[in-house]
Amino acid sequence: MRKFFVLITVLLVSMLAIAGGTVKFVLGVDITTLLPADTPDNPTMMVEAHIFEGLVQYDSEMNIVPVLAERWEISEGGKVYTFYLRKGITFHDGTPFNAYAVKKNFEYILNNNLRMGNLYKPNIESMEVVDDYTVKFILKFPFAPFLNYLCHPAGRIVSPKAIDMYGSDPAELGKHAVGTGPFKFVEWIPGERVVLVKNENYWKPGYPKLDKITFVPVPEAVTRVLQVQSGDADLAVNVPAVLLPKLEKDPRVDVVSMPTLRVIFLGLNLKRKPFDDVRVRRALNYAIDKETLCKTIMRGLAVPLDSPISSYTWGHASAGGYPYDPEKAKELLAEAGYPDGFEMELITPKGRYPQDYETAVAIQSMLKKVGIKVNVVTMDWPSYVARVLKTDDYDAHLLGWSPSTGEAFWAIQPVLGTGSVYNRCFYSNPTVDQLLEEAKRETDTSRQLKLLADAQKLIMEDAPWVFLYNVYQVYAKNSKLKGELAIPTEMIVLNEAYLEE
Amino acid sequence: MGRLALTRVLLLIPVLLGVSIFIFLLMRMIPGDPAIIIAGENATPEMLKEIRDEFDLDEPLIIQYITFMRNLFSGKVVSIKTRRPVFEELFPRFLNTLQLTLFSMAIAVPLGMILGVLAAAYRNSFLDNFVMVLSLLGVSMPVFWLGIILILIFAVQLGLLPSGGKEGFESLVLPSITIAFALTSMIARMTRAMMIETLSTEFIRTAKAYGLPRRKVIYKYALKNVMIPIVTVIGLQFGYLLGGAVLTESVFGWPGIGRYIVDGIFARDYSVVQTGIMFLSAVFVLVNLGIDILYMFLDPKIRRGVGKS
Repeated sequence: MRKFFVLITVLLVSMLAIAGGTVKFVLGVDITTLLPADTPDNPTMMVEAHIFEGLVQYDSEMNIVPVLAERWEISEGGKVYTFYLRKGITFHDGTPFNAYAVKKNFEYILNNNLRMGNLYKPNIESMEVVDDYTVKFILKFPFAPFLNYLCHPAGRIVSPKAIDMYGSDPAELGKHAVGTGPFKFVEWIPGERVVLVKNENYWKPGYPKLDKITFVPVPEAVTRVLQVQSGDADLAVNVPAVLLPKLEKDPRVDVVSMPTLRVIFLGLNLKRKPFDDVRVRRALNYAIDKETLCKTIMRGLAVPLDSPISSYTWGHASAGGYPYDPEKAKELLAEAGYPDGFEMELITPKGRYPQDYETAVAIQSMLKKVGIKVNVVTMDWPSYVARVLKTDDYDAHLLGWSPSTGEAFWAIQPVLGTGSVYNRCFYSNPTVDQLLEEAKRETDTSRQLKLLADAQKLIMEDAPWVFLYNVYQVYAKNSKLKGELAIPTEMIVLNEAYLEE
Repeated sequence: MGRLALTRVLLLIPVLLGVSIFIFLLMRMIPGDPAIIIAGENATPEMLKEIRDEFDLDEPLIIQYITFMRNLFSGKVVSIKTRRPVFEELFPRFLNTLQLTLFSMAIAVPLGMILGVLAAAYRNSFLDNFVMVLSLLGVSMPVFWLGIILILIFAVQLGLLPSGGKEGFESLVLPSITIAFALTSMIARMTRAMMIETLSTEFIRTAKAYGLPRRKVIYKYALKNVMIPIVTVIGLQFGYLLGGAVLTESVFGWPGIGRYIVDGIFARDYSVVQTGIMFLSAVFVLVNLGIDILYMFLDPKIRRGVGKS
């Protein structure tokens, strides 16, 4: 019996040892604000994920799961979404969370010029409070991906009291972060750190386990990794692939790699010859060995694309892809009237995406084998974006795309829809546009998936891009840190994480 | 002295005006659109337009310039990226840079001068050769590489010092050493060269001929005479370092002003870059004024206004 008590005590003590602890999380850049709907960048969204919560969110498999909403109903016709809210939750400032808070939050988004406001402005007509814990969203038209849009970090809910106090200036509201999340905002010293502490009144029993999280911006990737190795930091994002072999041998560090939604492609300028010819575009797709790119250049941290979107994006359907076949590429080129190939310019950023420039150079040597001479031109990111978005002065451009809403509509429409801002290959297929538009309004999921699959197949056949690969994200962490949630939208969240003794 | 200070301060006005126009035009000449870079890849055309409207980015250049200057004088320049007042972001970073600069200087100035004087006094000795080789290494070694090596040794292997960030006094040590290494080398080489030159002049020979002790000749007569060029170099370096040691700040994640402005350039955050550069220009002018005043204490000839150098 006595032994039993000793055992229980030991167990209890060891459980206590698990709880608590301070974690230092190193990001590449400083945050920009702490107002979710005014946040355009990923690192900031990552910090906000600890302070604020939305009605719904994605889990690590990109399923939509309830958070502040317990459940929801979608009306016949898909124009009205009714959310039944979780009861007994308060914001960090003591304000109760209820239907009025939800309404106020989204009204603030609709009535102000926030950086992410246009996620909701075009589709939400109004909000209606049914009772204290039931709120209705009335949409302007049936909008099937609405729940996905609510999963976007911009849909996280801010305390109505904070909106009343600071809302007249979004930048001011962004300095006073009050949410319902597991961590409370303490301070943000620009360029230095953001400090969060445990929310003792968090609604999910037993969570959070950590006492404190500090986010520190460290621009240099090598230093970020060294900080984890030296034990100064517990988690570092965007680990360069070159450092992996060394890190994997270090017992103090765990390296985690996981897929993201980001696809990397070469956009071909369809306004120019010879890229106006689909045979040439397909030839380019056949002439590039995606498997080798993924294996050697990307060091296994990428997978070849079989569709214009990542297989983790909601609505993905395999459209086959182009296997490596240089013979077929030569045939197609001869058929199109270029038996001896041609010369082209490929512009690429350097350091924006993992091994972007290296990929371009590898492509240069692969295309040489089918007679195409490629000139690789690189420039800094701001100049590159200006060149790609404001001119059509290029043959091909290397670009990455990731839908922050996690679904196919945003993964395809902005980059491949007729006349869209980021459609810099000037692709236009009215059938694809039609399919996407129908999918957006279709409320029956299986029919919606079918429409999206058809669109992906058509795009693959038209080959406005050279479909390259889907990249992984890699982070390094203290091997004692467990339970972090990594989501393919390039988010790492420590809401349920703990430090093991 | 009062007049000199007054003229210099008044000179700030045309200097800053010139700098403001130059940097304004330069930022607009380089390609890139702040709205696209800041709103991110997921921005819709409406979002881009809202940012452009908010910061008058579609207005004619002259209007943009006037708006900027007006905002600057009323202290209302706001960062395009964060929408926070630029001064509120810039000043704490400047203090961080100042801290780092002063600390590096505190190591480099005495050390560099001592090594330089010793090397000159014992010319061609082992000590001289050692100092020369070490300082050659110091001026030619990339700070970036040195910083990472220092982190590897002192933070990862030995665990003695923090690997980066800004938390307490300890985090100042490695970045300061990184900056001080190159600075010490530069000052040592400069001091040595000037000392050797001065030691071969006639007044030193005379002093030696009078039988004055060697120590007195070196430290009292020779060193005093090389102070002006040394102070000039140190002063210029001081002004330069206050602009932020960008690479060192990046490697150590030190929240300084250099990194802040470079980030501003990459985000094409016009407000940040324009305000930051103007601020640094003013600092540079004032530091130079300080050096000129220092000259007067060092050289009675300048103080009396004879033999202008």
